[in-house]
Amino acid sequence: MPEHLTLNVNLQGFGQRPAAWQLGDRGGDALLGHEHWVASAKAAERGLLDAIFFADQPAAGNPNPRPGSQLEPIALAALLTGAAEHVGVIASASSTYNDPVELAERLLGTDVVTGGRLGWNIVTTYNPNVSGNFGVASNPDRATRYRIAADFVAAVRTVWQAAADDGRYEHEGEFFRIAGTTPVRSSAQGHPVLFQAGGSGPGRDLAARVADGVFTVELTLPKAIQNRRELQAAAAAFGRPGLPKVTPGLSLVIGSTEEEARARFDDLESRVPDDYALGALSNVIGHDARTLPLDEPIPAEILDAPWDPDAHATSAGYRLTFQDWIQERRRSTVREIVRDFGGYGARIIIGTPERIADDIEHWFRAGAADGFNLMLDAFPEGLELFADHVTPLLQAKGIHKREYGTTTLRDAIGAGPVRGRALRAG
Amino acid sequence: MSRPPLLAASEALELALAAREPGALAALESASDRLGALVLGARPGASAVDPVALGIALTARVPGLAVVAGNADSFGGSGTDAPYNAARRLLNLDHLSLGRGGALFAGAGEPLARTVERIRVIRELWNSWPRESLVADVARGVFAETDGIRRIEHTGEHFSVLGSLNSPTSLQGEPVSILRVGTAEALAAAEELIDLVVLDDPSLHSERAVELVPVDSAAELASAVAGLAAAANGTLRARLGLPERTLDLSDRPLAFGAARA
Repeated sequence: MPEHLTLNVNLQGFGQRPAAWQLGDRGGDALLGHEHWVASAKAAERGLLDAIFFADQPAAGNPNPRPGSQLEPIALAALLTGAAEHVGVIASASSTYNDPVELAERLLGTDVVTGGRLGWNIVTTYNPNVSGNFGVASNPDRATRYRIAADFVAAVRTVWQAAADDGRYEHEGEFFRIAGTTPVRSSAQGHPVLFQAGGSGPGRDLAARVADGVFTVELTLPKAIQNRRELQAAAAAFGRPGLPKVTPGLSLVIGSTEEEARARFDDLESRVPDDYALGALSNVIGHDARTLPLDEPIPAEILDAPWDPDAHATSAGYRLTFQDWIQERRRSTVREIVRDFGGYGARIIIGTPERIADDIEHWFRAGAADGFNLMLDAFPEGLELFADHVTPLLQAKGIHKREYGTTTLRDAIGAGPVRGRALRAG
Repeated sequence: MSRPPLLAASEALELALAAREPGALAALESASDRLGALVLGARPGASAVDPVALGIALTARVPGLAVVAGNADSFGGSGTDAPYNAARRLLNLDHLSLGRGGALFAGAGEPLARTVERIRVIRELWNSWPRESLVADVARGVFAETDGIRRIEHTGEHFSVLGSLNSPTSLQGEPVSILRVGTAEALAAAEELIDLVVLDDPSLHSERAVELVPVDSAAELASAVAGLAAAANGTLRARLGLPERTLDLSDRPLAFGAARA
């Protein structure tokens, strides 16, 4: 067990709950200005979080009922690291729909601006709406996407290594053949730290080889312990002990009493059409849940049907943990399942700061997680509640830092120095 | 009409600004109301500091500053970066600079027709989601009126892009676009396409020509604006005396249908 938690926040627009935009008087263009982001970054820093994480889809989604992200995360990193002094930013970017040299230079050239507080979350993009924006009919299949990703990451790291040396790079792989000289130089942390989020076999292999941290989805404690142990053992076999840091997603709705938290959750849910949550559930059961009677269990033939990883929108890793979670709910009605499924992909706790802190401690000490990727119901207020009421409890338990002792994201998450030749100064 | 100058920062000045060197920041702060825009990454090829990231960091720190990101059509990669990605980050700069962002297209290393098509696609993406759609109507549960959001459905010789972009139009309509031109043919192509041109051939003339004034240091930054009056406040378009600009995409298919049936 590491000494302290690694805590990130998944800053999902207005909030993790689809109706978060309806709280307060936010205005339709709040995600395009500074105030919302800066307040959220300051709250993250008050809670001594290590980083703000952004997912990313290079495609438009219907803004009703849930407004998606309207800004690109690498650009947001420049704003947030200027507004806050310590917290880092981990930006998702696709290895399927970027140019490896352009992205390597953009990431490192942004890391320089952040003072060494940038992370790159490597995603291969399974959203079927993306390919048409890039002139191709459909996304490559999962196996191909991960072969591309492995070569893409190798190319990016070659450019970053060149930045530490004389700038000259050359890489010849299965998909990318690049050679040239980069004008970019190493950042205060060498180069951005690497995160990975896919839970499929090839995703976990990539994480074991290169990632400093992983975003996972874990719904049950035993499976989380097993997956973390296996992943870190695989990384240790590649000479990377203690890595990657495993941070499962954790959705939170915080109230001063259990009743208050539940009322807040119910209020937010009542503002969203019923079929929103059913749609999310449909993705993981591989069946249109809107066609199922709400007051009956999900038919066994649906839950037990073989699952084709290329035919469904959800990630493979998520499907595996969901299979365990649903076993305990085979007798529950669809209505009950949908309510418990409020994380739409992550575990959810609706409760008091004490209950949340106890749960985090339990998972951390059990070896199920190095920390968490927190998803608050609404930003910035959910994160402010966390900073003011959960952070002190975690500190009292001795599992969360009391001050920032580091200046780079690499040091904050304990990723260790960059290997290779000495970095060129300035 | 005389426009406030566009100052093109050298790599040394960009590195100093990225490192938040007090002298460089102070010079920029005192010059910010007199310059038209600071141009970052205007040199050929990639930049040591990312122009969009530095532009966002600087405009957040220096009130009123406008920034133009150079090499908007290649960013110095291996030349294969997609217009969808470029449209996003250039529009991000415009959003996060609060309507004071611009894009300088180098138009180098590829046929003119490809540059023209790329800029056309990027501008259509910039205009595919009208900001006015963001109504946030709590009573009706409607965040955005989706009947203005269009797929661009561009299919051309060089690019095929479905759209729409995932970011609405900027406070100034769309980012100010500038193209470097070195031939009469390129100048003619820029006529309907672009806000301003930088002429790389002294024999060319255009009403919309602007000059990039190189600045290498804090001292050069200060002297470049010495004696100038304060420029117009507001968006970069207002500052440069350019009209608000949009493309009419009403003939394109709706991306999400109407907000409510």
